[in-house]
Amino acid sequence: MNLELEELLERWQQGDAAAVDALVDRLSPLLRRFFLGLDFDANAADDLVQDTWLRLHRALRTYRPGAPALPWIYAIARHTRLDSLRKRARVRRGEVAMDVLPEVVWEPAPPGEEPLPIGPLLAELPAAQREAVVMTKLQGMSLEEVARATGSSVGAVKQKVFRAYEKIRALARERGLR
Amino acid sequence: VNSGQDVKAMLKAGLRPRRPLAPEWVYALGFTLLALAPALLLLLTSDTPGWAARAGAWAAAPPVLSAVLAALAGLRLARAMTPGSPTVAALPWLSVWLVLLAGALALSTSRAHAPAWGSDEQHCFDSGLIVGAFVLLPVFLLLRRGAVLRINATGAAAGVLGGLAGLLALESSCDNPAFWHIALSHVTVPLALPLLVLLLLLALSLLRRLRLR
Repeated sequence: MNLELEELLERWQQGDAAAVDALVDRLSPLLRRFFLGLDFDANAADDLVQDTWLRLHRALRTYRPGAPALPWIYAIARHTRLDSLRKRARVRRGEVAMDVLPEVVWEPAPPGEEPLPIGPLLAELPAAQREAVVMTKLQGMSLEEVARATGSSVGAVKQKVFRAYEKIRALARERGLR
Repeated sequence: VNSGQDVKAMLKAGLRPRRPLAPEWVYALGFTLLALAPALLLLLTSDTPGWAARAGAWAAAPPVLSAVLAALAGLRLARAMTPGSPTVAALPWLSVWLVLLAGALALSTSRAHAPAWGSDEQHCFDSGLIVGAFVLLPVFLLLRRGAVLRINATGAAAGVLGGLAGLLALESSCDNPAFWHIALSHVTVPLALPLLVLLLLLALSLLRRLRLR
């Protein structure tokens, strides 16, 4: 089924099972790569992909036909991740504030996994900058789409991406990478 | 592959046609009309029109400004119902509204007497909050169908909308033209109601967290 994501979402709303197959086939790898790019944890990424599909299913009627699909999908995906981080942090240490969420640690990709080429450098970025880079570069989203998905302005996203690139460049220089 | 099949099976198990939300302008218009309804009703039924109806041209500015802000709050709420919609920054608009409102009130109200907080002020403030709460309820019921993300910001915007409904109702029914009366007991309503809603939401989320521990 070679349709735009927007058309597939509309068909899903109408109860079309073929649209579900096409959406899952097309979006699951993207979502997995999104979560992997943020947390570098393959198991957590798989769980988050499943949770995100469940939430997309629950929130399906909130998609307005004709609206861009990616901001709708990623707004829900990033909230799924944030909720999961909050829950994990609570379970681990009791109550914690949002600004002290656990730092992610980069681990090499397990056998059979496609490695993220700039994984170690991404892991050193602040969470908001990492998210902006993953969405724009790894997911191929436009600045406008990222701004909508994250509930911020295009200028703010541009600034985060710019600062992230500067930091990545500096880190790469520091480590003798090209 | 298995996980993909699981997801597909799960989604197909719950597959049924869903009626999508109406376009955002429909909700934005609905929310705005809801905010204006009590004021219009009072204007049509009241024997004693409010101070704004009897004063000069500048006195029309506060209700008009409030109606514009109600439309923006309505748009903010309508967009909050769809994740990934462009956001309307409510705070800068609220600041602009406050500055313009202060100017309009200074030009159009009487400063002949500046009463201390009294029963008149208390009565107007309470009435504004009650009207606002009555508008908040249907807004909340509508928002339950959407607004799955950013609950606090959505709650605050709903509070602003309810507060504006209260303010507009007071402007169309209260005949006291004193600047301090209007500043203390009318304008405070759209500022107090969102704060109350926010406090309620924060208390509820704290309770939920305590229960989860």
